[in-house]
Amino acid sequence: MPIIFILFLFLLLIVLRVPIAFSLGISSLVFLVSKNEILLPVAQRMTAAGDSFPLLAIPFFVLAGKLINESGITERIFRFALCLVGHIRGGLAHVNVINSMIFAGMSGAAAADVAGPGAIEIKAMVDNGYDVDFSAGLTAASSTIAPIIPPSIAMVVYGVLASTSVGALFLGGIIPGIIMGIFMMIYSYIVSVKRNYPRYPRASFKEFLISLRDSFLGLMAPVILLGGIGLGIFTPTEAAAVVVLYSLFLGLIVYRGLKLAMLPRILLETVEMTGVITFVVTTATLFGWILTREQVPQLFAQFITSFSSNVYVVLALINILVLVMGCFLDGISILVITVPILLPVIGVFNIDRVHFGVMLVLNTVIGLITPPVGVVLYATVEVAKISFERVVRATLPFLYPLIASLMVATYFPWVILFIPRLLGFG
Amino acid sequence: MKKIADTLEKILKVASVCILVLLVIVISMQIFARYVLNHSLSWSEELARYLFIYLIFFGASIVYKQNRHISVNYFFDQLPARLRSIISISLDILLLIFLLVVFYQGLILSSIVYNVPTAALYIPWTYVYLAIVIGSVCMVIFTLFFIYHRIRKEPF
Repeated sequence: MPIIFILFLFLLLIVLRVPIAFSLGISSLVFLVSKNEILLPVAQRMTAAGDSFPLLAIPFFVLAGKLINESGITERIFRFALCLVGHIRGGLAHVNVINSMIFAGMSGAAAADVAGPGAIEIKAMVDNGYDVDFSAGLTAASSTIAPIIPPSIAMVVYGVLASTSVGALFLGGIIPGIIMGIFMMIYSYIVSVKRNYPRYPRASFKEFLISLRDSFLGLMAPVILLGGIGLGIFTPTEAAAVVVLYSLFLGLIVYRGLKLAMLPRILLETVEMTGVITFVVTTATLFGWILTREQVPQLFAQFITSFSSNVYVVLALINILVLVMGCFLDGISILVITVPILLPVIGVFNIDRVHFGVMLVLNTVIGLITPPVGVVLYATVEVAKISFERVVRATLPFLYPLIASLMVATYFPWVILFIPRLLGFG
Repeated sequence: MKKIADTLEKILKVASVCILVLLVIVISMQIFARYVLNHSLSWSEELARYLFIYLIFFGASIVYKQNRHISVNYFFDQLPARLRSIISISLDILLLIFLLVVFYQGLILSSIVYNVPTAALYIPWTYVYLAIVIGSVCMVIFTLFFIYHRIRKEPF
């Protein structure tokens, strides 16, 4: 059966609500059967995909994120952010963004950011006279920084699929993540001036120091992580395990938000999330192997180059394609489907794999807040207690700062590559 | 039927949580040995990778039972209810076939590599491939459970 039918079958299965992981597996199997081939590679490729030390960072980062969320540190970091930017017009909006950026340095998934710190952010904003819609929209949008500022589960998946250094990707995400935060703060400032949102009196230096002392050990988590990876002390997977131990220390001993009795539930939630994220990588590896054998990526590269040989146009086309996919698929699914196909394209155009990876992940996080399907939108509905339609309408304006960040990441590669190159990561 | 599926799910949960804890311990030992004892462990990374394979397939089975693997529901939900239930059963059968193939191929694979030892631990590769065998057989059982309940039009 020609490969084009397999791609069609794959799409059909997805539309019929077959999980992405199984759509990939079934399509691969049908192809091998139609070619009368031996089927051993099905089990062999799937197992080989899991036999990956970098991928092992995923359960650790998921676990660390959950432990941090329940460690009792959330409110201290919120207070620290308040002392930092509360005095600007629309203070709590900026606090919301800064808070999300700090949490992005500890957790690798956006939905976790909404459920944990997001709940506090929305409550504080609404209590202080902000519209619930604006607060919900901003919380949803700012949570998308989590997968950009390291650690990042999506970047681990990209790194494994594209055989690219996860450490370099992590370091590459730092500046783009900060840019996203700044753009969102600029947008919030404009809205806040228009609607005359309140500001807090400037925190005294002493108050600032107190808030810093209270949250200091928590703020060290991202420092340990990035310092450890950046200076080559730990691999990302080892760094993830260190952050797990460190967040246990914070939660059980320092801030005491965590009780031993909570651990079985947290561990189980981690196992389940790991099952969702990593299983799709196993069948995607099988599918990618077949696509590569059948030269689909090369054909796609030829198709794209026949369209345009201008690298800027090609990147724009890829971005538009991925944004549209983001309306229906989650970030990890987009990565496992597109990365094997797109790699030869970026090879033809000499695009750096780290640059491309960070750009792609930044694009997929926008998909988290675009309807009809967006994990973060659902999480925000739960937390803000307003309807899905209202959350969608409130979140849409934040596409401006996010798309602007995507443009910067796409067309100014040095923004991404500066830190990794500085530290000798390719 | 429901009881079997639920018990199996519980066993998988306990096993995966234990594996996760083991993984944290193994990697911590690896770091500790390297930086504190100045001695790199030869077996820790390999053991961690193999345990992780079990975690993947066990975790995937648990999520499969709970019907929480990521799927696109948007288009399917627009279909009329009658059509939806027919499609659901047919797709379950398709999934069953896929999982049976994975199970059977995994079984063959693990039997051929019985004499092939792994690089650091020197255990037969069979034990590595057993992860996909166990994972797929659990999902087969869960699929049978889904089909059984769909035919009897019972909620599950």
